[in-house]
Amino acid sequence: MLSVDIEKTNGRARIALSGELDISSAGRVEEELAALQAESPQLLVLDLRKLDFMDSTGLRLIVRADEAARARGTRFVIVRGPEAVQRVFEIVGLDSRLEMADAPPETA
Amino acid sequence: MMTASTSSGTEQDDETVGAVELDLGADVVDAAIRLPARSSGVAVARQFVVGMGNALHLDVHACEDLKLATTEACTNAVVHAYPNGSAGPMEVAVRPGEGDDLVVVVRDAGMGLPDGDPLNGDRHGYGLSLIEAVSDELALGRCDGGGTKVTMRFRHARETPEQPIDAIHSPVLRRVIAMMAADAGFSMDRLSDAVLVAETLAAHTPVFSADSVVHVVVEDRRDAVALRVGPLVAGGAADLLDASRVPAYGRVLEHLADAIDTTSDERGEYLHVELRRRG
Repeated sequence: MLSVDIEKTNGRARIALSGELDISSAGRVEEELAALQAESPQLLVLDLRKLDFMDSTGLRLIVRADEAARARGTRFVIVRGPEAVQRVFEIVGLDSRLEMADAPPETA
Repeated sequence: MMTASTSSGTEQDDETVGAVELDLGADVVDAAIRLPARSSGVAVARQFVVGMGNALHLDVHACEDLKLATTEACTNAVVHAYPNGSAGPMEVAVRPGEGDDLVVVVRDAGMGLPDGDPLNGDRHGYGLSLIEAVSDELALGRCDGGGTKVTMRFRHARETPEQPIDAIHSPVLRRVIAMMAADAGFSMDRLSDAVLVAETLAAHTPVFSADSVVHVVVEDRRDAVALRVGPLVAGGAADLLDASRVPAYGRVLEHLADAIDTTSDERGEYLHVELRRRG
């Protein structure tokens, strides 16, 4: 079970996930991310603060979203999730390769 | 000038989970879940191991390890085992290992491992890396008659708490049944009915089981969850209903269920309990 919350303002987009991100919910998140990326925002924020669980399917979709953002010149920022989510990034060494923040950035 | 738009929603997978079979043995650590290898089943398998973790009083970190490793192994079965699109079975079994080790075995009856390329298609190898990081030992193998077997060992994960067996079955049944009820769109009130049914079954089924193992099949239908409990001993279905009696309230199972039925075959009796979504 995953809830997706999307907020768009001028040049900024924020997508917040709550619940569990796994193979049953990844497809929907991927679609939402692609739709947001298509508008080439200056800043795209993926907020994981309310995410309880994430697996390798979630990791892969985040890596793809990061690649797509770089290609379009969008700054892609991940707002850190709880420990159970963060350690998944850490295990595979992605925590240092992605831009992470404790809160959504104030400016793009 | 700021313009804002907000949209939100909850994941509604059109796909049902299907029939989920639970076998809960008389030992603390001796339980298995079998279900169709579909995306929607992975979360159910996860609830199963969390229930086992609760029953074993695992700390929150050990529970997270079990959840993540089981999710990765099940996802692998969902993605790779049955390439022709039919959802064959997958099984998650939790067994005692040496000493106080806990062993989780995830198997499918699919096409088996491609030679020298275990768990692949996992392009970045994240799934396997995660299992290796959170478990103490990982073995990939082939099941008799085909299919893949992933064996994961967790050291010192098993305590043997002194508690009645229903206290062990309860968290597993509760979590799996609640997950299925949530998938079927139950309201919070109706969800707590489902949890009460799970607890009632956990408390009384072991006494009436035909082989001391609690067998429960949980199936999610569009607006309902159907349970089949058994095989039970002769007369066990009626006795189980009776055992759910609470003074001044009556037989809890009858009160909460929308339909109750008894069937039997050569293995014993089965109690069928259907809970519908309602309002």
